[in-house]
Amino acid sequence: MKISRNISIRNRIEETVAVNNLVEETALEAGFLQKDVYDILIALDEILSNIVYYAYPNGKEGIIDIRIEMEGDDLTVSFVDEGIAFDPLAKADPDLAVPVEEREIGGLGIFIVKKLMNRVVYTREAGKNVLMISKTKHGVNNGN
Amino acid sequence: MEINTVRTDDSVELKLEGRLDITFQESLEEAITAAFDENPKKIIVNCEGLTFISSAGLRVFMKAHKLSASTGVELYIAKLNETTKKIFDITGYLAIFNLID
Repeated sequence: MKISRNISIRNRIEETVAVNNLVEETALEAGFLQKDVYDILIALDEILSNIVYYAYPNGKEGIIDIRIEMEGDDLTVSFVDEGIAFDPLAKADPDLAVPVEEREIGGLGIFIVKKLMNRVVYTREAGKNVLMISKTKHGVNNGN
Repeated sequence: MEINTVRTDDSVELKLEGRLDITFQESLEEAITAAFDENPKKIIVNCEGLTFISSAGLRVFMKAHKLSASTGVELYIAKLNETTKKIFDITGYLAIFNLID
């Protein structure tokens, strides 16, 4: 199955809802199980909130371009922004040995993304942050 | 997401419906803070109607946990589903909360 869709939003939390809806619709159409769709939507929320809050400091308005692609059994969502260079994968995973209360809250979101998705890739290209997350579709009988 | 509040003599129960993502972090935080302000014996956050939770939601639960520790109000998380429980589990949050069914 091959599907390709694009949506661009401004860096505002309320605009992320349209992206959630389009990704959910696409993943369901592509045959993902509901629980896997939720995994994708959680990852989406982590990444979009990161970009909205941190990519464009001091209240600057910016655009986030999102591409949703289904190819074979893989759904890939790419996020492109022209904000400050930021590689979310550069941050170490939270130290799970440290009691939760004493841990830094930062880094938790991207850690969840890495756990829920099959592939997460960051590149800095021509002054833009490009982050791609992929999830592989599992059939009803293929387990997890 | 929707939040319905149910009060008994000694408890405040917050019933969450829908998706707990960044768009609802603030309203849940307000509801939790308001529940602690009522100073009940216990607060129950009922997650039966919650489809999923992101780290934005975990931040609110952590705040509730700290308020519980500082005020002595008991905090319970009820009826996590497969998806929400997984998020609590992989982040280590499962260990610090009182879970009930």
